[in-house]
Amino acid sequence: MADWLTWTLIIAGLFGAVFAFVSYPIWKRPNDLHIFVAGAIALLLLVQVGLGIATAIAGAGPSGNTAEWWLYLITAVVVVFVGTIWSFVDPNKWSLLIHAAIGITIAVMVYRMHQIWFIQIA
Amino acid sequence: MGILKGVSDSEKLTTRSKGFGSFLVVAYGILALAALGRSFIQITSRFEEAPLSYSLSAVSALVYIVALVALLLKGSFWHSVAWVAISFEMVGVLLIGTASIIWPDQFQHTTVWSLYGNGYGFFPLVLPMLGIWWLWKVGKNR
Repeated sequence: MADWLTWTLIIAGLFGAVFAFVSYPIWKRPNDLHIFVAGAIALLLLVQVGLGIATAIAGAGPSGNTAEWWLYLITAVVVVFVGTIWSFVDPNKWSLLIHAAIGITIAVMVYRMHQIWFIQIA
Repeated sequence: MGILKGVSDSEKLTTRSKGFGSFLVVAYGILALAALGRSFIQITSRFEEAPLSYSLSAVSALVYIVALVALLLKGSFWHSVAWVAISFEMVGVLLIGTASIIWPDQFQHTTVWSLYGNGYGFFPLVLPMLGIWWLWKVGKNR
């Protein structure tokens, strides 16, 4: 698990959360910019999926539970995609809170993945 | 502008899943996934280590899923189901949270509800409070 990607994802998630909050006084509801932010996070997560597969093929992997690590990653991808689409079913101020929740969740999950990869012992 | 304009379809939503409820749906969805994934790993890889904690993880995952479904589906039956699920969740997090402080040796393997959900930023404690407030609020306007 590459450090640069971990930190980029955590910062992207936290940025997404802050951006959702500061968007409230400006736009009152999510718009295409929030889709771009969520899309960037999704893209980074998919890069992590690719790197995870490449690492597994090379015979390496997390120091902790491999299945747990993949479950976190897949859940993170699902949360970004489904959460973003759901936030546009009825876009309002609470949909911005959804984007904030997605961002914080991704940051926490990627941090947990980092722990499973480097610190946790299976 | 308006990439996801096509998915906008608020008329099909229940009152429970509109407005603040739409955030609750996401919160329950995330906790359901987290609890389900966690209990799946715990039960398949090391169930014998802590059967009590890991069974509780599975129960909490089920409660979150029921609450999520009940928020999304129409009708007063599902409104009642949401009440039952979220009340159960409130009692669960208080009981297990307290029990994990009184008998820490029984809860060395964490569940979503142990120490009032501190492993999840106390969200499992706050969420049922928000859920109960929300069901009470939309229930009045029915």
